[in-house]
This record gives sequence, structure tokens and C-alpha cells, in this order.
Amino acid sequence: MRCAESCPTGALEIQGIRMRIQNILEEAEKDRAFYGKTGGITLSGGEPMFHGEKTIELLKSAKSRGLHTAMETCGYFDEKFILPLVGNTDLFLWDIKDTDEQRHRKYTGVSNRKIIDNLFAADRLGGKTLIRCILLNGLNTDGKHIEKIAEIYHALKNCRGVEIFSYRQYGESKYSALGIPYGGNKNWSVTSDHLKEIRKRLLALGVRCSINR
Amino acid sequence: MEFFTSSDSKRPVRLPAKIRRWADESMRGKYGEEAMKTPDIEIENEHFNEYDDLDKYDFMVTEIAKKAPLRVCEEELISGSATLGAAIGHVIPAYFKGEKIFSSVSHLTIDYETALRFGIDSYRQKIAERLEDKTLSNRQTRFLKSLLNVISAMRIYHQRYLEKVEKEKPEIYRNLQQVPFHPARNFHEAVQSVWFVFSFVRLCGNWPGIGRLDVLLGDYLKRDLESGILTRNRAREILASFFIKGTEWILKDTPPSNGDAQHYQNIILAGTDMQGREVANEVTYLVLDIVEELGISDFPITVRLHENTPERLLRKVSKVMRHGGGVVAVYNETLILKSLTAYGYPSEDAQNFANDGCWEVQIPGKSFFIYIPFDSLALLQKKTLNGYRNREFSSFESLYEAYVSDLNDQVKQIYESISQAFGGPEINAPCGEWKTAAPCSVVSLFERGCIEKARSYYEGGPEYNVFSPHIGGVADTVNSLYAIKKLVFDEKKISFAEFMDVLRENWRGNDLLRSYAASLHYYGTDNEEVDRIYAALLHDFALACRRWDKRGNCFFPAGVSTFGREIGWAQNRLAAAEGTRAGAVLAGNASPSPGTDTEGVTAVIRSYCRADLSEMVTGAALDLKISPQALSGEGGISSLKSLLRGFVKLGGYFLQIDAVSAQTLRNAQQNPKEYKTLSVRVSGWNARFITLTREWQDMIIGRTEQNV
Repeated sequence: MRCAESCPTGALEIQGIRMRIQNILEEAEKDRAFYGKTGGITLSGGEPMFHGEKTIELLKSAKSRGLHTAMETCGYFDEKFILPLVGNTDLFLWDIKDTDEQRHRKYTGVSNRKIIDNLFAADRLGGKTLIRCILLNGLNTDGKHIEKIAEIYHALKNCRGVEIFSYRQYGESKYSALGIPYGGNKNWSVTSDHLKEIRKRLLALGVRCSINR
Repeated sequence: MEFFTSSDSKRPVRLPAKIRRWADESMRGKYGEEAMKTPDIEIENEHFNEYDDLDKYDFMVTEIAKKAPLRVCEEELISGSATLGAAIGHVIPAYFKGEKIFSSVSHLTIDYETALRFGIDSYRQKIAERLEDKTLSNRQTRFLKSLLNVISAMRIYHQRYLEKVEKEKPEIYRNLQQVPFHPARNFHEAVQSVWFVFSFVRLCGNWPGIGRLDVLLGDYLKRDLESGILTRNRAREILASFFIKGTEWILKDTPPSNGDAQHYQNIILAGTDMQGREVANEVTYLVLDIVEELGISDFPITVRLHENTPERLLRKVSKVMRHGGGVVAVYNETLILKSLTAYGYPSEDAQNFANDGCWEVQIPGKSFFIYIPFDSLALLQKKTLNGYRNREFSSFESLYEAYVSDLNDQVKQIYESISQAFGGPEINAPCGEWKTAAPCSVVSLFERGCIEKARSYYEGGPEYNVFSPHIGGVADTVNSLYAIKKLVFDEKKISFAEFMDVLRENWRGNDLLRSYAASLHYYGTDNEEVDRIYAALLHDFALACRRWDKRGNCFFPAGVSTFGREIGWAQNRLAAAEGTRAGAVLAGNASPSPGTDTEGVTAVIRSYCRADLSEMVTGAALDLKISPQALSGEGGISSLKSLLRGFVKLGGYFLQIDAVSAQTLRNAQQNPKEYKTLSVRVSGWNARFITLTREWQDMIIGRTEQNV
């Protein structure tokens, strides 16, 4: 981070600011009048569990102030975090990118094994989840993946439902800002009608499902 | 048939196709057009000019009643129409030799309840009794007789309608045999009664508001639904007639102005009764249904919210709001009730509060009300800072004190001018002898106090007589004071004298300083330091008004507004310390200055609520524009509900939200024909966007579009 601070012309910029946990929560609590007893904070990213310990500290503090806590995660983190996480997170928005292990490895660089194991471990401890499924047209929109999602949903005890959404090209600007070639493909976009079909299929399989536009 | 919406959710379809078609035709100007073809009645009376005022007036009203064209639409379920076009221009539509004679009355909500529950004939009895008082002056006697003449004129008009509808509309005929002269006995008669009074008063050129329609009609509908003589659908159709007929003054091609839909036909919904119970009833929801479906903006609706407002109502209000048009706004009634009772209104009256047609709070059916606006920023710039010349302030406190002293002088001037206008040369006059004013017997009949005092609406008749100074330019005055405090006194970036020079030169050659000034966190960003100045300023304004309050029977309460005057005032304003240049269009009502609300809607509301708004007894409005995308889906409804709840919890007064994207508005500027029915909230009233002048359009586009 010192590179940005020492850059004389300000050509390097840090996106974001450092804040103490206390200050983060004070900022969040300013809107208490609007979200009342049922509202709180949602951690997102990036990947919040990239900073596992700090994230758990933040969640603990939030809970002690009576805030509701939610976290979006890709699920790829050390299992030692699961217990403290479940104790301090009211809702997980858990990504399952692909149930096909090989395809998952090919397109993300890692296996989906740990992600799914963590998901079930959290569930066993009472963690409430909402599964988020990004869909890439022609890649994971096949029937098999959809059926596996339904299986997972039914196997979980505390899953509130599945949210499906289409791949979007939004990440492109971040990549170019980082000078990394963008491996995305606009043909992966899923049409609104196609999303509706997939939702119908999941509903027929007994899954609570919504589309995130 | 589609009615415009900003939302990606469709408007519901509940009404039959032919009623929807009728609504569409009316909203496109069919009946306004007709009315312009018969703008007024020509008085044919050689001796007219020899008459005194009241004789002239009574003659005019009678002629209007005798000769105004009658309109009965095929689809209507209630009858009565203000068919003379001159009324659309706020004039009594009876001319003599082509000249208008008297102006008409607006900014009031009249009493419908007496006619509804006791019948118009009950007024005759009251007036007759009053006339027996031997101590009445000639003028008082003459005034009471004028009221009787109004009733007779109404009879004539009513009789003409009876004859017209007997064959074509038997159900309406039956209802009109009972109302409005006798008490209503069921819901259909009740709606007809309220509508008939409303349309007759408008026929005679006045612009009355409606007030608490659900409280007026709720019991009738409840009984009819319970006894099975009416279904909800049928009730909705009857109410739809009321709403659609209320669009009868929309013109086909309105010349650009500050908006065509501003006839102040206000409706208030919901709130609590004296026992603290929510009053929202089936009428409340049917009214919201109709507005949700048809998008009619001619009746600006304000919903009275409190901490225990039912979920169902909050949800319904949110769903209607996000279609755009700003048709539905909200009051925090908890704060307002506290405000009115602390001010001195008896609890029953306070409980019943409504407004005048925009959002200035008043007690309906018994209040005379005017407001007197002034530009607080111009006061600071031109008086306190003497046009930025030769004033050396050594501290922020001394600057602020000087401003408050000038504020007090301004309020005193207002008091003196209304004394002159309504009373006479003595300072205390409005509360002593009232001057003879223009005749206004039609509205006087429906304002409590006028018969009892035997005086007209303009001459101290109503129970409450309210003159409210309204401070405008609040945000910019606060911001300017804050900028001077920071730049000169706290951070010492520039001396006071030098800063005055910079501002006098309209920032010329000082772009860096101007950028710095513009980068501060101003009112609307939840910055406690600047909000303290805002709170102090409104409090000091309330104190200034209190000095002149309650002399005799006159009320002199404070209020905050601009009502779009920020456009007209722009050319009169110099460069402001907050970083704006001379001539800029700045903040409206109690909203933040354009472009300064950088921290999101919740921050705006938090800032706004830092003042004790209960001291602004006639109101302080906050305008928010929210992007329609942010309000879509269940999440959108949830967000709106949270905003409304937070607004109440934090102590807001009045909130108007419009959900239109800046892009849509720019499209409408380019293609007005495609956007004929697109309505926006202007400054307390609604207007069809394409009828606004370019300046007004730009002002509305300029309001920051927020995400939630």
C-alpha cells in the first residue's frame, strides 16, 4: 500500500479506506432509524474471508451491538473459521459456481470440494444460507448442474433458497485497472427468458428460487 | 391502455376498460378543452355597475348557477362539473362587458362534513337563527343574506342537474334527490355529496382542497360493505368517478408555466383518532388503488404516518410511490400533533389536521390561511453582509448574531405589511378591526366561524386566522454561514475582508478557493457541525415569529418553503460563500443545496431532522428524488418502507419523494408528445412535466437523483 502513498503524482490510487472496527460499526449504526431491529450489515468484496480473523472480529463486534449480520462468500477458506463464523453470522450468501468438479477447477483454478464441504459444515452447526448461483450460458447452464444444485438444497437443513443470476461483464474495468488480461466472454450472458426457464426447473424440483437481476 | 410509470413493475388493472378509457381521455385534456370553449358567463344586466360588492357577487353566483353548461359523462357515477374555463385561471367565471370582476379563493380545505352529515339545508337553519341577533351590523346582516343566496344558487344548479339526469342516469337522480341538501345515507350518496359541494365551489372559480377523504367516507362504506349493498369493486368505481372527474381542468396544450396540475385539490389519508387508533379504512386503500392504477396526479395525496402505521398501509404507499409522479407524500403526524398542540390548537382540532392544497398544515374547514415568503439568502448577502461591502465581522458569533437581528427585522416587516393589508394602519390591526375585503361568500359558507361571527372568510370570519411567514433559502444560508466560519474563522485560509472581495467579484480569479469551498460537507451530509447552524437558524426564526404571535385572534406561525421560487430568486442572488456563482438556482424548501447531498438519502434525512421541526408550525418540506431502478422489486418496496419509517422515527415533518430518472425527464424535454401524462412533484403540487417551462424542468432534473 505504500506504493500509492509515495506516488508523487497520485497516479496510483487505493480504492477504499482503512477503518477501525469501531468506526466501521459507528458508521453502520448511523442508519439504525431506517433499518430498525431487523437490519444490520452485509460483508461483501472481494472476498471477506481473505482476512478471516479480522472479518470474524468485525462480525463479533456487530453482533454485540445487536446488529444483524450477513456475509457474501465464495466459501473457499480454512475450516477452522467455520465455528466462529456461524456463531456470528445470521445469514451466509454462499456462492456455488459449479457442481462439476473438473469444470470448476478448469475455470476457477481450484476444486469445489472445500467450498461444498464448508457449506455443509456450516449448515450442520446451524448456519443459515442462501445459495447464489452464477450462470454462464453454455458452461454451467446444463441440466446436470441444476439438478445437483437442487440436491444440495434439499440436503441442507438451513438453506433459505437459491438465487440465480447471469454472468455480467462488470469485472472488466477492475481487470484493466490492474493491467491483467480479461478472460471474460460476453457470450456467457444468460437471457432473461432463459433464467426464467431455469427458475421454473428449480421450482419443479422443489427448490425456493429467485432471480437476481 | 397504459398509464405512465417510472417503475419496471406494471400498474395494476382493476377498473373496467371503459372507465380506464375515460380516465385517459380526461387526462389528455378532453374536458379542459371543453371548459375553455365556455370560459365564463356574460353578465347581461344594465344596472350591474350600480350594485354594491355583495350584490354583484350574489348576482354573479346566481347567473353561474343558472347558465353554466351541465356536463354528464357517459361513464360517470356521480354528477356535477366545473365547466366554465375561467375558473382554471383562478377567477370567478362571470364577466361584465368582457372584464373579470372578482378574484376567487384558494389555499384552503373547506368543511364538507356539515353538508355530508347534516345536509346543506341545515345551514339555512343556522343562518336564520343568527339573523335574529339584533346587534348585527348592516354589513353582517348583508353577509349572512349573501350566504343564503349562495344556497339558493346551489339549489338552482342542483335542480338543473336533477332534470338532466332523470332519464339518462336514474341512480344519480335518486342520489341527488337526497344529497347534498339532506344528509347522506350511504356511500354512493356520500361520495356524491362531497363531490357536489366540491364541484359547485370550483364552478364558482375557487380552488378548494378535499382534506381527510377517508375519514369523511369511511363509515358509510363500512356499513354498505357489511350489509352487502355494495361490493368493493363497485365502491372503487364510484371513487374512480370522483378522481377522473377531478381531472376535468387538464388542458390539451397547456402553455408552459409552473405546472398545470396545481389546483390544490389535496387529499389527506390515514392517521390516528383521539384515542390513538389508526383511522385508515377501506376508502384509504381504494383511493390508493385508484392512484396506483391510473396515475392521476391532480389530487396530491399526503398520508399521515406514525410509529404504529400498519405494515399494509406502509407497503401500499411504497408501491404507489415508486410509480413516480410524486403523487403520494407523507407527514410525520406524531411530530405535527405535538407541534400543533404546543402551538395552542385544541386537541380535537389538532387531531383533525389537513393542509391547504400544497403541504402547509392547517385545520380544515375553519382556517383562513396565507403564507408570506422571503429569501433568507438574499437577506444574508444583501443586508447582513451589505452586498459584501464594508462589513468587518471579527467572529462567527458576531456574524450570526447580526444575521438573526436582520431576520427579526424581516419578520417584523412581514407583520406590519399584513397588518396594513388586512387591518389598518395600527400595528396590531389584523386582530382588531378587519378591513372590508372582496366578497367570498361561497367559501365562507363552508368555513366554520363565518356564520357565528357573521363575517366573511377574508374578514376574520373563520375560527383560525393564520398568517405564516415562510423562510426560503435555508440550506444555502446555512451553508454560506458555515463556509465563512470554516474558511475565515476556523481554518484562517483567508481574512474576512478578503473573502468579501472574492465574493463581490463572483469568485473571479479564485477557482482554487471556490473548489475548496464547494468541497466542504454541507447541510444534507449528516455533518453535525453545519447541522447545528441549521437547527439554530430555524429555532431563531421560530422565536422571531413568536414575538408577533397570537395578538387578538391571529396566528403568526413559522414555516419553511420556496415553492419553486428558488428559480425566480436566482437572478437576485450574489455569489455564495459555499462556492456557487451569482444567479445560480439553489435549494428548494428544506432540501439540501443541489449537488451537495453526496452522502446518500439517509444522510439527507438525518440532517433535515436535526432541527426541531415541530417549531415550523405550518410545515417544512423535504424533497427527495430517487432513481426508479433503486426501487424495483421487493427490495425496492423494502427500501422505501425503511425510509418512511426512519423519517418518522427521526422527527421529520413532510417528505415528498419522486421516482423519475433524470434520463426520462431529458427524454421528455426532447419528445414532449410522448410524455403527455408524465407527472412530477414540483414543490408541493404535481404537474405534468411537459407543461413546465424549461427553467422549471431543468430545476427538477437538477435535483440529485439518489440510490437507496
